[in-house]
Amino acid sequence: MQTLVGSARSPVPPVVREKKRRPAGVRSWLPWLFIGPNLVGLIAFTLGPMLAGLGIAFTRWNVLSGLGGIEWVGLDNFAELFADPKFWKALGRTVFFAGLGVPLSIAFGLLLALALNRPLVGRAALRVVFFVPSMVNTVAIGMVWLLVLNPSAGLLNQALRFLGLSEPPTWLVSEDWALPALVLIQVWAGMGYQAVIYLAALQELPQDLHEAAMIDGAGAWRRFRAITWPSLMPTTVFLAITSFIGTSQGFGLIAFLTGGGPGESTTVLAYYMYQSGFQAYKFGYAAAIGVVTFAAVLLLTLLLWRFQKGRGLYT
Amino acid sequence: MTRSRTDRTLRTWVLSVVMWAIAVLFALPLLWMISASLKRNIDVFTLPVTWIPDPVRWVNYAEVWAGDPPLLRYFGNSLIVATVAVAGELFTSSLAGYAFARMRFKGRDRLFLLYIATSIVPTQLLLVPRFMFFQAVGLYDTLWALILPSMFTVFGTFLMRQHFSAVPGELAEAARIDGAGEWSIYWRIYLPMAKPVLAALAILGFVWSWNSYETPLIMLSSDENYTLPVGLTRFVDGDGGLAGGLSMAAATSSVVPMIIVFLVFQRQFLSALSRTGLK
Amino acid sequence: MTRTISRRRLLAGAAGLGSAALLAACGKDESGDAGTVTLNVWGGVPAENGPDALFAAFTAKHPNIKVKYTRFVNDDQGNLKLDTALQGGIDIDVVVSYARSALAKRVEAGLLTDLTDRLAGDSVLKVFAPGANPASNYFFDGKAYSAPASRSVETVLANKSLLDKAGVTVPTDWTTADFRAIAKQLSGNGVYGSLIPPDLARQQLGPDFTYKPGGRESNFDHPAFRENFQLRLDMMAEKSAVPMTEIVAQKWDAFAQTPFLTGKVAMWISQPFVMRYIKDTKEYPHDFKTVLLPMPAPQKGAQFWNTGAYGDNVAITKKSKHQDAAFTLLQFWLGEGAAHMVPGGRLPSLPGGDTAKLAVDLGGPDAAKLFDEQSLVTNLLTSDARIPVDAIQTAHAEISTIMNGLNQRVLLGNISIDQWARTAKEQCDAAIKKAA
Repeated sequence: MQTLVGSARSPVPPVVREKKRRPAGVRSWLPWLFIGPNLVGLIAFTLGPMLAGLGIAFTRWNVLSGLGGIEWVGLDNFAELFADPKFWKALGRTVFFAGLGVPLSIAFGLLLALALNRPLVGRAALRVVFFVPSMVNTVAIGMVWLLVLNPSAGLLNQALRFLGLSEPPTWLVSEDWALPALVLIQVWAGMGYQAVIYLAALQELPQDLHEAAMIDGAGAWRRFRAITWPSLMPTTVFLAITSFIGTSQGFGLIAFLTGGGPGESTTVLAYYMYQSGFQAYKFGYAAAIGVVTFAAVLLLTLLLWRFQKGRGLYT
Repeated sequence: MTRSRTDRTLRTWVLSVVMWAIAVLFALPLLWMISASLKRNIDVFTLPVTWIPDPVRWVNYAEVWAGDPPLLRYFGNSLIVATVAVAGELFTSSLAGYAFARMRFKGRDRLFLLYIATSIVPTQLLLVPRFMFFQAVGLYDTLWALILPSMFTVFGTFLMRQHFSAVPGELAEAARIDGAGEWSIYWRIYLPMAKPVLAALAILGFVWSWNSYETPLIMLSSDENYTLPVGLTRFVDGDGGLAGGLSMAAATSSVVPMIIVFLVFQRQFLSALSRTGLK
Repeated sequence: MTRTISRRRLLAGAAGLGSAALLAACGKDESGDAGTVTLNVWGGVPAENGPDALFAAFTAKHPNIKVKYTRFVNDDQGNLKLDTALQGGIDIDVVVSYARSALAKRVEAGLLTDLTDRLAGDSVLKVFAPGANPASNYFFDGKAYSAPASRSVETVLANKSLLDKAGVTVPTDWTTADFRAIAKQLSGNGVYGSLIPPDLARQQLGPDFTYKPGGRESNFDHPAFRENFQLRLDMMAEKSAVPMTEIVAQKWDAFAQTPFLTGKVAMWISQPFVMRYIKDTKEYPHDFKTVLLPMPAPQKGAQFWNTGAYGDNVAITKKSKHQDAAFTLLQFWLGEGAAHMVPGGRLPSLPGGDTAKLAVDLGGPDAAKLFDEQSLVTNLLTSDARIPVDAIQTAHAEISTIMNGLNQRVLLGNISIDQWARTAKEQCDAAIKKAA
């Protein structure tokens, strides 16, 4: 799924394991030559646009009328935003969407990784099966799930009816179930990615600790609680942060599957921003939503980071 | 001892069966996609679900590959964008990551913090300024508008920095005593050791670029420049509504390269990721 | 050693510059011979469904004007793509807007040329200029920025086999009550009698039906809206109309030809552009004739409006360097060229076509097998239906967004009609106030 794969690109330092560093103070301009190519591109294509986006948040601007159509309005957009009930509802839905989807996909990802780390028949093939969904693009995922979640003929509801549920949810067509359905798709598409990152971390767990604990007669659950879980904590925090960022930005699936509906029931912040900017062409307003989202995610990230630091998880 | 071994084999078998059962459930949507890709449009929605298409329409694949909209063209564009973007990303990220990890200079940590902060910005906020920029320099509606931003990434830099930080410094020291300069230390000693990480970054970057949807939607206007995800929507929204069979054939076709990449590089991928300090 | 290194360093630095130079080399090419003009036209109709023939005929008549046609998918994202292309400096001379909101956006952004004077000064096209009576074009602050290329009367498309099987004969002056009774009679055994019943509010209120006179206030407290939803909800409940869940899940609100042509829906209210699906027997094989029925009247004998529209709004972009050539194309498109769009189901916006020829073009070579041909002529081509043309544009886009959400909610049963009316009135009034 795009959001989740994409989220991998928005990292926050989880662990910085610095080994002995050489005081390579060579010539002072040399490091800049190394960083230069990346930095120049980043300034041109990310930092610059970011500052421009921040500026746009203080204007009223229909991008179709070109640069001449920019009108400075100060804090108007933010004032309007905070008085806009649609914004607050969208914020609430984002919190629900991320608050349910991220922990679920991380939990399932971890379970999956633990299972896939044990000797299994056809383990390599299993890993592929679980990872494939996170490599499939949003549109393809959307198409498949549109068919799977069809209220009458869809796969899921046929299964539910077979199990005796005579009135299964109508999923994407229902105001109550559309957002949970999107969470379901999100978890399905994202847990493979989480599992792979966890798997990689599991490869490096010190085996001797485990063996020692086993000899001490510690059961599987205690071994997990005492050894595995704490040593995976940096990975968990990393995944939590990147998934939160990814989820808060993702709107491709919503644009394709529900268009924010039925009613407004799947209009999360990212989609509301898309709607304001790219459907209503109110770019100043959309930028203001973006800036507020940025601030919120930044705050959350710092909190999570603090939490990790506070727990002494630096190795 | 023997008992515990049989115990363990038994447990392995039980777990395997359970995992395979879950895997099948997990893969059902994808299996359905493949099955639907071989059906006539009318047959895609049927009660109860038919898993084996009747008749089997291999011609769906022939149609999406040869026909209009030109899937082959989209495929080629995606391949160009992903390849060039990944090559550029590997180059700039490894250089910058190396400097952040192994060189000391004024303002380094603050600059790195700035890097991290930019990654939190919602992509939609960047889209319009980027659009205006590419339009101003005449790159709107070219593949460059997709390639350039993904050549200079925070994620790549971050990943490479994590890797280079974890490598012991003794090698560099020895080389430096031998009179080697910083560039040749980077190029001859550190970069070769980073191959697995570069491979992991390449895979993640490739997948990301391959699936990128919003950016091409805004940056491209000509059909002949479309990449796969945007091109796929043309099989959906055309005049016929959901062209079930054809769109599934196109979707399946777009996924296959990813599966192959993962199958081939799975082992390297895992070992590389575990070395980057993401654990 | 030092020298080697510094050279490589230089190379590393130069790589950045090099890629910039490479970019510069990838600019766009400008083409065009002296004397001939190439017009870039963007429209939503597949090239083979009319545009190809239209432009070939045009170039045959005007050999120094060539046309390059680009088809965009007429959905949200396709329109977004067109708009960004327009703003992004892609050469586009002529665009067709389908939804009024899409046209309004382009007008408000200043992308389109003011055609008021050109239209008023044209002996034929003056019917689309401001002030013409009856109005058949959209105006913004009293100016025209486009002209419609098609006039789409809505009719009830019915599956003749299903009608015959049920032994139903439809009276020519039928009413909504008749429609419902017949739909009910046709329902059952996996068939829905109708997709969606007629829009009673539009039929009874006509132009600008969502505004109170003057346009300062929205009109959703009018009883006609309540009546409309009540009918639809009742019909969905008795399964003589397709339930909303099914419509949303299958995206049938936009593309209903599949259920109609597979015999799942017996009556389908639609516009003539859908004829091309009926004629496409390769993709949509079916073995029944389609008969076109007139729209039922809300009340017996009372006058009412058709729910169709003037559409395919052809406009010239402000940036176009070929304004005259583009207007020449527009004249041809709406005038003698209009015939080429008929086989694709787009009927001319100008009156006075040869009905017999239209019938042949519209019906296609298999007309006798696919249609009740007489109904094609009587109920569509010679229909005297009144088509409402909206004149008020205040907050139109905002109101559409609000109403899309609300209509879906009331039809899915999430809110009552009362709640619908209250919320719609409140939110749309606020939007109008803000826009004014």
